[in-house]
Amino acid sequence: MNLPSSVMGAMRAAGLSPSIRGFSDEATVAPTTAEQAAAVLAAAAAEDLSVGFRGAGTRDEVGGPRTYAIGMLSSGMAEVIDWPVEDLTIVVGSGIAVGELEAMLNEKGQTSLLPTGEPHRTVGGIVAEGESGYGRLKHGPTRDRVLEVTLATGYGKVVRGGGRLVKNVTGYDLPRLVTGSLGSLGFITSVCLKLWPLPPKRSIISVDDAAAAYEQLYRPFAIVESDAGSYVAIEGSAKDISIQAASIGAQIDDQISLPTVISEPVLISVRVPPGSLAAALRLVFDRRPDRFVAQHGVGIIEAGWSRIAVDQVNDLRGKVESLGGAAVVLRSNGLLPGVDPWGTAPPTMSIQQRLKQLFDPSGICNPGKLPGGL
Amino acid sequence: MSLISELVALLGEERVRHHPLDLAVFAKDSGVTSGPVVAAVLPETAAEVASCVNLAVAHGVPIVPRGAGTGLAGGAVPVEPGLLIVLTRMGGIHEVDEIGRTAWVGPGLINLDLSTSLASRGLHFAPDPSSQQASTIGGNVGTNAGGPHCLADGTTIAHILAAELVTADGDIVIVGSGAPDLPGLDLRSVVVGSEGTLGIVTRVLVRLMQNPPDAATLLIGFRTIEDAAATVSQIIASGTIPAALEMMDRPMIEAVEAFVHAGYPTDVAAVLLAEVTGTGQSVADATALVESIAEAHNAALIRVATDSDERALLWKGRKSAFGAVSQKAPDYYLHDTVVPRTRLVEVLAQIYEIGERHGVEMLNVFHAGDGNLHPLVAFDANEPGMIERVRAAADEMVRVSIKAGGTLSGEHGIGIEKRDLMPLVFNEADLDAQARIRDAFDPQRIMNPGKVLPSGSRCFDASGARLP
Ligand SMILES: Cc1cc2nc3c(=O)[nH]c(=O)nc-3n(C[C@H](O)[C@H](O)[C@H](O)COP(=O)(O)OP(=O)(O)OC[C@H]3O[C@@H](n4cnc5c(N)ncnc54)[C@H](O)[C@@H]3O)c2cc1C
Repeated sequence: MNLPSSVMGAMRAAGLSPSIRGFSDEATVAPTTAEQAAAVLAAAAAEDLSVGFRGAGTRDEVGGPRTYAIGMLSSGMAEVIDWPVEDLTIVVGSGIAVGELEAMLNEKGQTSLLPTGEPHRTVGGIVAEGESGYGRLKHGPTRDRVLEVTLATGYGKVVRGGGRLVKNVTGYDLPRLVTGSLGSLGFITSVCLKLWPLPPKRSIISVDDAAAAYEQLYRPFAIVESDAGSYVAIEGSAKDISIQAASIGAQIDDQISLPTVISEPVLISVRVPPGSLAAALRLVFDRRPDRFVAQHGVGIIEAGWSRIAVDQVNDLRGKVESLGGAAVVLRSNGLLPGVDPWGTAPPTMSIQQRLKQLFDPSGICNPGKLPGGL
Repeated sequence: MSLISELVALLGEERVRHHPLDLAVFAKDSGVTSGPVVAAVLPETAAEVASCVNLAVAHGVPIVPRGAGTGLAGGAVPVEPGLLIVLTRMGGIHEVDEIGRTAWVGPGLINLDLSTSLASRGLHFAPDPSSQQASTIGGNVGTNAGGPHCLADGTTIAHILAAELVTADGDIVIVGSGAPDLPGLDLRSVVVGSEGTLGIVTRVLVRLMQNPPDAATLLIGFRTIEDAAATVSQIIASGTIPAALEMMDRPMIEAVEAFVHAGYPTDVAAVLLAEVTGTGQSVADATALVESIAEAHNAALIRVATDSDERALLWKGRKSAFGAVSQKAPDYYLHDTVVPRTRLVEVLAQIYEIGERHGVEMLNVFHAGDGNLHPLVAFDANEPGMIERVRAAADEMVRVSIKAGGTLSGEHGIGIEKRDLMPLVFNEADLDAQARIRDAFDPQRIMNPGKVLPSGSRCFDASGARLP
C-alpha cells in the first residue's frame, strides 16, 4: 500500500522526502521544523493514518510494540536553539542526544540531570517517557525541569506552552502534562530545560544498609540498592563529603560508579510510594531477577530477567498495585504474551480520553501507547 | 426548589451563607477585583462538595472554589453570579507517612500549621508564601504558590504528589499518586496551578522535606542594585543553590525599618538575604562562598546568623514587608512578574522609571534567585486619578518584563487580573491548546469560568480549522 497522494504532497510541500526504514509500514520522515511536523500530522489526520514518533528508538517497545503508517523522527531537530548560560536554562531541539547535551553542559559546569545511561537517547524521547536520572531523590523528577515545550499536535497545529523561565504560573502547565505523555498528544519538537550547576564534587560510597542511609543522611543525591551492592551518592566539598560518609560509617572509594542500564530481555519498572519500597523489593526478590536497581526515597525498582513466567508477572503486578503502585513492563521481547504493558488503567480514564481526543482528534499520534489503549 | 434552599437542606443553615453581609465578605479576595456571589457554602467532606457541585450544575450556577481568599489575582472572585465553595472546614491532617515523607491533608489546612505540626517529626512542607499564616494548602495548590524557600526546592507543584478532585461531573477522582510516574497522563500537573478551573481539590497528598540539620542566614548590604544582582547570579553559577535569595531595595528597607526596626542598614541601595542549609560543613562551605562573592562585588556590610533566634531576626524585616507597606499608605498594589535572572538589573531600572513617570511610589522586595519581581505600589485610592495611574504603571511594568523575555506571573496566578494580558505571551494556537486542557476537565465551563483564559480562547475545531 502506498501513502495517499495528499499525504505525500504535504510531505513534499514541507520539503521532506520520505524513506522506508522499517519502523513504519509506509514511510519515515524527519521534519526539520515544527511547522513541517504539523503539516504532515494535519495531512495524516485527514487520511486517518497513524504516525509513530521516534527519537533514538530505544523505547519503541514501551506501551507495546507497534508499526505505524508513517514514522516521524526527531533527528532533523537536534540543535541547540538558545543557551543563555548564566540563566541556567537551555532550549534544544527534541532530537539532540542526551550524551552530547550533557558533555556540552558539563564543560560549562552545568547539568540537565537527565538519565545518561544510554547517551544516544534523545532529549525528546526522555521527556516523552518522563524518565528521570539518578539525582531524583535530591533534585526531583525531569518533569519539574521541563520549562517550555513546543508541540506539533494531532490536529496539525504548532503550540507552545510554559516559558523560558525557572518560575512561571502563566496559564495551564502544558510542559509538565506533555512530559510522560508518550507522544499521545503530539510530536515534541523542542523543549526548554532548567539546568543545575554541577556540585564541587560528587562521590559514590558503598553502604551495607541503603534503607538506614536514607534515614540518616540529609538530602543525598541518590541512594541505590542493586544486585551489585548498595550505594549512596553525596554532593558537596571534598571535606563535607568525607564528614557525611563518616557519619554513616562508610568510606569513599572514587572507583565506584552507580549501576548501569539493565539489558536483560525482560525489563519491569516497579513504582511504589517510597514508604513501601522495602515491601516492593521483597516482592521483586521473590521472583529472582537477574538484575535489579532500586532507588530509596524515590520508590522505583527496575528489574531485569532473562526469562520470567507470565503468572509470576501478573502476581507481582497484583501485589504491587495493592501497595498503591504499578508494575510496568518496559520490555519483554515477546516473552510475556498477553501481559498488558501497564496493568490496571488509571481511575481518571474519562478525563484522559477527553484530553487525548482534544489533542489528537483522529487518534493518529502514537496510538495505543498509553494505558487503556489510548 | 431554589438552589439556596436545596443547599440548606443538604448542609443546614449555618453552612450556607447568603446574608448580604456574608456576600460582601466573599465578593473579593486580597486583590483588587470583586464579583457577584449567590451564596457561600462550607462543606466538610468530599461527598458534600460533590453534592454542592451537582446542585449548582443543575441550577446552571457557576462554581468558584475558595480557600482563605488571600489570592491576589481574583482567582476566588466570581465573574458571573456564582456559588462559592469554601474549603476552610476541611483542614485536617489525615495520614502522615514518616518513612515515605508524605501526608494526606485537607485543602483547608493553613500552610504554616502543616509545618508547625510536623516540626517534632523533623519534617516540613517547603512552599512558604509570605501569606503562609493565612493561606490554605488548597489555595496554594490552586495558584501553585511560591515563596522564598522555593528557590532550591521548587514551587507547590514539586510538593504535591496527588490530589482528590471533585470534577464538574460531580465525580470524585484522584489525580497523581503516592508512587512516582504512575502510568497515564499526569493530570496532577495541570490541576496544580489551575486556579479552581479544573475541579475542586478536597484532599492533598503532600511531599514533606527533612528539616535541615544546620542553617545560616546572611544579610548583605550593597551600594548599588547592580552589585546585588551580580552577586545573585554568581552565587547560583558557582554550584551552590541557596535555600533562599531575597532582595529588598532602599525604599522597602526604609519602610521596614520604620515599622519593625529589624536592624537593616538604611544607607545602602539594596540588601540581599541569603539562606544556606544543610549539614554543618556544607553550611560553612556555602557561607564562605556567599561571603567571598559578596565581597568581590563591593558588599558594604555582611552579617551572618547561625542560631535560630538571630536568623529569625534577620528574616523579620523581610517577613514584615507587607505590613510595613500598609503603615505607609492605605492601599497597595502588589505585582508579580518574572524575568530571566540576568535581566533583573535592566528591568528594575525600567520599573523605577515607570513609577517616576506616573508619579507613584514604588518599593521592591522580591525573589531575586529566580528572577521573580514584586514591584509594589503604595498609594491612597481616595486620591483622585490615583487608581488610573497605578493601573497604567502596572500595565507598563508587565510589558517591560515580557519584552525582556519574561512572563505575566511567577506565583500569584492569572485569575481575572491578568487574563486579558495572556495574548502578550501566547498566540492564539497556544491559547487554544490551553482551552483544550480546560475543556477536557470541564466541557460545560461551570468551574470558575472566566478565569485564566481570555474568552474565545478555543478558536479551532477538532480538525484544526478555525472556528467560525
Ligand atoms: C500579604 C500577602 C502575601 C502573599 N505572598 C505570597 C507569596 O509569597 N507567594 C505566593 O505564591 N502567593 C502569595 N500571596 C498570594 C496568596 O496568598 C496565594 O495565592 C495563596 O496560594 C492563596 O491561598 P488561599 O487559601 O488564600 O486561596 P484563595 O485566594 O481562596 O484561592 C486562590 C485560587 O485557588 C483556587 N482554590 C482555592 N482552594 C481551592 C481548592 N480546594 N480546590 C481548587 N481550587 C482552589 C481559587 O478558586 C482561586 O483561584 C500573598 C498574598 C498576600 C495577601
